[in-house]
Amino acid sequence: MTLFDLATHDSGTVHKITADDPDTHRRLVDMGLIGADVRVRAKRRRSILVDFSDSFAAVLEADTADRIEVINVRHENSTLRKSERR
Amino acid sequence: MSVMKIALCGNPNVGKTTLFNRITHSSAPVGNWHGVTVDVKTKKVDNDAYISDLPGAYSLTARSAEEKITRDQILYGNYDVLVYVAEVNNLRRNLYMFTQLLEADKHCVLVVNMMDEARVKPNLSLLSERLGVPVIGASVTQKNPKTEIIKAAREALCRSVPTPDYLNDVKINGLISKISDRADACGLSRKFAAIKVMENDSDIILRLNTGITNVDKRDIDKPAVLRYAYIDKTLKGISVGGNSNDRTLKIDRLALGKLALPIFFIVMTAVFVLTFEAAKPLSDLLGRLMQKLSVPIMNADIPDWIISLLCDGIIAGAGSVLAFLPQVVILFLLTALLQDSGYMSRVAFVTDGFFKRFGLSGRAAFSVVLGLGCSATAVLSTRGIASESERKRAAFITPFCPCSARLAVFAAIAAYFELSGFVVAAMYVIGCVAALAVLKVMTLMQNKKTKMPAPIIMEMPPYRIPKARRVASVVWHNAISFVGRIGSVVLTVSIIFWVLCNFSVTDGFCGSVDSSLMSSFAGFIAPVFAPLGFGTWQAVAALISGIAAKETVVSVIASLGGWETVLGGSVIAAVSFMIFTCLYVPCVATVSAVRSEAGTKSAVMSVAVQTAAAYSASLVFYQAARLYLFDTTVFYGVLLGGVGLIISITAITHFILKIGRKKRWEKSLNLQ
Repeated sequence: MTLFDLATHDSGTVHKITADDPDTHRRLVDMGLIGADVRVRAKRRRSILVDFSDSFAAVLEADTADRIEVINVRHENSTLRKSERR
Repeated sequence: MSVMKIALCGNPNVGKTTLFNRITHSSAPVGNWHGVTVDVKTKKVDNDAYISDLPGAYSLTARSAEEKITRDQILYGNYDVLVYVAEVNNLRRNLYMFTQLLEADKHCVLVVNMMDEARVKPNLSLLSERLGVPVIGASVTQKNPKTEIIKAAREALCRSVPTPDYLNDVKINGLISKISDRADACGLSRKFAAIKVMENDSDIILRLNTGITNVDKRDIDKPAVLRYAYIDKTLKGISVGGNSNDRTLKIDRLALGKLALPIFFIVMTAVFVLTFEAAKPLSDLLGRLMQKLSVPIMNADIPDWIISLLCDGIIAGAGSVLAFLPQVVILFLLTALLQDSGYMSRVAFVTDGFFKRFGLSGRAAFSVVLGLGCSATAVLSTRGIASESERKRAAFITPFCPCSARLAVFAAIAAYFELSGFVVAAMYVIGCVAALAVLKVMTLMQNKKTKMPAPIIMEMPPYRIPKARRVASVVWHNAISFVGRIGSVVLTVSIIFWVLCNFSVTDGFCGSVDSSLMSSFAGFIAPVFAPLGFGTWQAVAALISGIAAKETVVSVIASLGGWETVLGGSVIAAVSFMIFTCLYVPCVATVSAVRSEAGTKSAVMSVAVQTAAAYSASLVFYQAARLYLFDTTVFYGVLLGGVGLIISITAITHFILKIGRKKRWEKSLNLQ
């Protein structure tokens, strides 16, 4: 499952980063995302706001979030928004 | 004691510039959002040290233009000591770049900032012992840490730079032996160069020119993993709290939920309405005071030309602009509150999807909102955008957003013609629509050449209660800057225009503007503006003066007989003039900023496109309004025809572009 697949308030752990663009990959790794616990604070059609390990929050574009593999997903809120279901 | 060069560096939004301002008693712009500082600022501290404030960066592998500045300053800036600022609640990630400073063999001091916001106070002496560098705690509520920082910097300079244990890795040592000669030649630390080669840092690899191209892809993430393992080991037992807090989560649940866009529009509308309505009584009072100043001068026993210079040139000119100080102050106050609270960063997230449709990311929203204050500053703030093509486009369209100087012109016209605040708000809408239209055209034209916007990875600061002192400082310095511009540019232009408008070649001081030098020159161009409703030479003279600074439009109009004379009392001509002022060529400072950020070609294009847009918009508005007043049926007929024409042209253009794109695509397939 990728980070962008998570619904608002869902959480999980970053397992792997598979960004094609080396710069983006480098930045995600530099920000210490590998192994970080994540929780989706808000989601929009093309970007997502995520809390990382309760230490900082960052906005990621949908394409970027789709390159972050998440495991141990916990669904806090089962009611998905219409846009999120799509 | 030798003079020491110190640089303040760290991640974005950790309070570097606030610290710099406190240490150097200066007033560089600050804010609770990423990318406020885009250039290096240097000040002398006491007699024995210089301190520089560098833009924020996450790593020494630079991505955006501002990060490149910081990386180059750190690596090649010949600083004696780097004072690294980290946020107390975010030490783990903030220390990541710090480890790279140690890799680069730089003498460092660590400042743990925002100690007043710490959930659990960290043990700084233990941290200092483990890192091997002096560590200082700082916060805005504590005393100025200047002396402590200078003392710690001297101490760091005497110590040897500690080597993190992960640098003893076998692979890193293997790379060091391969690149050591080139690293020495480039003035880089061998360890740092080796680890950057391992990370496949293209800039450093290019600089080293070692011919290493086949970097082992499996090792690319290894340095980051080693650094974080070192940081985790260092921070073990040193309590570090989280950055997310309940207040931020609760507010974001509302501000970024389903109502995000309506809230954003309500906030922005409130900013404009408050700016205009709340400032009006004060502005009127200032205007009346300025008028009263002229009375004793008019009655004084001094030569006519001095009376004319003082009353028509200086008081009516510069004084009339000063009357709009309340609007400017309120606008700066509200935008400072938004920035300091952390809402401005949310604006980028909320508007990201919208800007994507026009080929930009939400990061461009910062520049657009900053443009409400000063277009030149806003253009410079586009440096925080990582993608070069996106940055150039953002710099190009930012001047379309009306700045505070244009607000003075709108406010003056609205006050004189008793127009509603919504007419002024409409000017901002026109500016934004024009910017988006230009962006869309640019995106269509550059479709293949332009890369898609760089992916947005932007840190979101927590909400903070705006600090009264910081907000007051921002408002104060911007107000002083506005008054300073009135005292310098506006006053000078007012005097020059007074001379041009009151002297003729044959008679010298003629006291009549109609036979002056300016009337002859501007009168020659004036017919061009007749179809827009303001074909008087006075209006042209005012618009020419606006190229120096937009506020001077008001001052020149005031000194040439006021709005009644210039616009003939016509409300539609007044609105047409407002539209033209809203869109036409930006001030010299802004054009120069566009040139520095996007190149000379873009600057020239910016001037041409804005002037063309201003002329077209004013022409369409004025002629349509006249037609509407003349015959409503004909107006609706023309409107319908016009809409049909626009739709047809858009469809044909789209079709032609689509065919062009298809042909190019087929050509590229054939080439392959």
